[in-house]
Amino acid sequence: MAKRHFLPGVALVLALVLVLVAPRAMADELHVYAGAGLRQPVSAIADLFKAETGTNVVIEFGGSGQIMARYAEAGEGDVFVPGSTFYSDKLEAKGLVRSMRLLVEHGPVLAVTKAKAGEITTFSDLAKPGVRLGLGDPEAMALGRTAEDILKASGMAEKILPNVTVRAATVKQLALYVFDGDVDAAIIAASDAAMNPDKVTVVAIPKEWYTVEIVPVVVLTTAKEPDAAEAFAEKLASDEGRAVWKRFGFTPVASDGE
Amino acid sequence: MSGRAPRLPIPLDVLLAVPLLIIAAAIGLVILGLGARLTPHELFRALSEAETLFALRLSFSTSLISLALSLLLGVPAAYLLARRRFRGMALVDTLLDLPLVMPPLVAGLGLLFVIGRSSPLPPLAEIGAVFLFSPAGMVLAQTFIATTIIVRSAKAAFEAVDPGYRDVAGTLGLTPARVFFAIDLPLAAGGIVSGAILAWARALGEFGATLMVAGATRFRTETLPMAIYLNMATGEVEVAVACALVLLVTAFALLLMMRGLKRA
Repeated sequence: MAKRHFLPGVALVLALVLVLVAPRAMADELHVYAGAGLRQPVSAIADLFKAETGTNVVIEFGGSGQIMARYAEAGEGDVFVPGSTFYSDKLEAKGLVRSMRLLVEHGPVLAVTKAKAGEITTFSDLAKPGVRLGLGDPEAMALGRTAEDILKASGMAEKILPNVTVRAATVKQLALYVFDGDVDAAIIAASDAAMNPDKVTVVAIPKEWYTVEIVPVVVLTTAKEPDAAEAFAEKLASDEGRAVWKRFGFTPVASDGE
Repeated sequence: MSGRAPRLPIPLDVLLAVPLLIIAAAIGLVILGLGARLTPHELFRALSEAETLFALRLSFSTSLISLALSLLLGVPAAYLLARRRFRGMALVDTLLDLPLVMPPLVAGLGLLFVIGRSSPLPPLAEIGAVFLFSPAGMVLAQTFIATTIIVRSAKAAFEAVDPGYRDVAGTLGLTPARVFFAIDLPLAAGGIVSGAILAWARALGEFGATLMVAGATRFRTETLPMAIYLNMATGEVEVAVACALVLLVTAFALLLMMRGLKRA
């Protein structure tokens, strides 16, 4: 009797183990780390890639610094798409880069909520008392670092810093704050501002105050499927990929007229 | 399989011990993993960093204020729910349970939308200006999460008090307020205190709701969980792990305290 009761149980456990393990074992799957601000274009291109090759692309989004730390701890993954070459340089220094392609500019703009558009018309207006400014945490996300450079170069950092009301961990969190009017202004991605012209007015930041961050795609030396990883990286950089990046407000690197 | 009923006890205990061992080992290994990451020297250095100390102070002060507020709100509400029956009570009761299963990040997002500038209730946006992105906002988020736990445990504690005492007190002419303070509250105190300890632990570890309402601003809204998040993001694993260990040790002490109270 006891034996009979055991068998279904054992079978069930075995089946469960199989179900859990099997998809991994026969996986034709890429693990991609990507900056949170790049979500829409990277997801859209991943969908295209899957439709063409049948390779499933699993993407983990987060602040660039955050996914960097995740990768450092996990030690596994095929492709890395941070918001800045600052992070791919770090990977390079550790010998983790199999190949690298430059994709698009990840430029900053000063976005001002519609309600305050009359009061904040130039960058120096950020120094006015009472302005609520949102910035990214300089270590956690690519554009947070750019914002820090901009403040330094502006020579107004001392006056503007007291107006920094909040720091965000990803550029999307920051964009939400300024779109909803919870802060008066924020330094966010040009792409996010371009996609939401009804919510924010863009104030130019002098170009000489910062070097524009370039979004790279890195195929990692830890890639388990290097060929598929290279193919996906190529897709991100292809003409078809560029068209998708443009659709979401990004400027592809090579087509840049400067 | 050789198990005929009389011989079962020993093999059964052994069988049952295996899952227990697996569970205990898993928890132990997680703690070991965190603890072994740092040498004592590194741990000490990370603990004495200004950022860690700031997070420690802010975590304890905000969570204690939140605890006080949630007791003030939760205990009376629980008493009413435990003692009275009213129309729509099942609905209210279920609504109060919702934050227990709601991801804190969602609670935080909802709070942000309600007190943010584009609030559907504009007067709330005026008040919200005080809370958004400030330690007051952290207290708001933590209180939101902690109050549910207080309501839950205090309600159970009040329900466990034999209604006979209250009836007798009533016939002896005690006012409802005196019945509450002289009978129900003291008899339910044990349950309320252990609920408070749980709620405090939750407030200390609260992250998702705080992140949305108060932001992740270093040295302003940086509690221990926020410090873990930010320092992981920057690769400063030492500070992150030190903060995690402080949280774990505190939580462990709180849970031990709760056991001690239950036994007493």
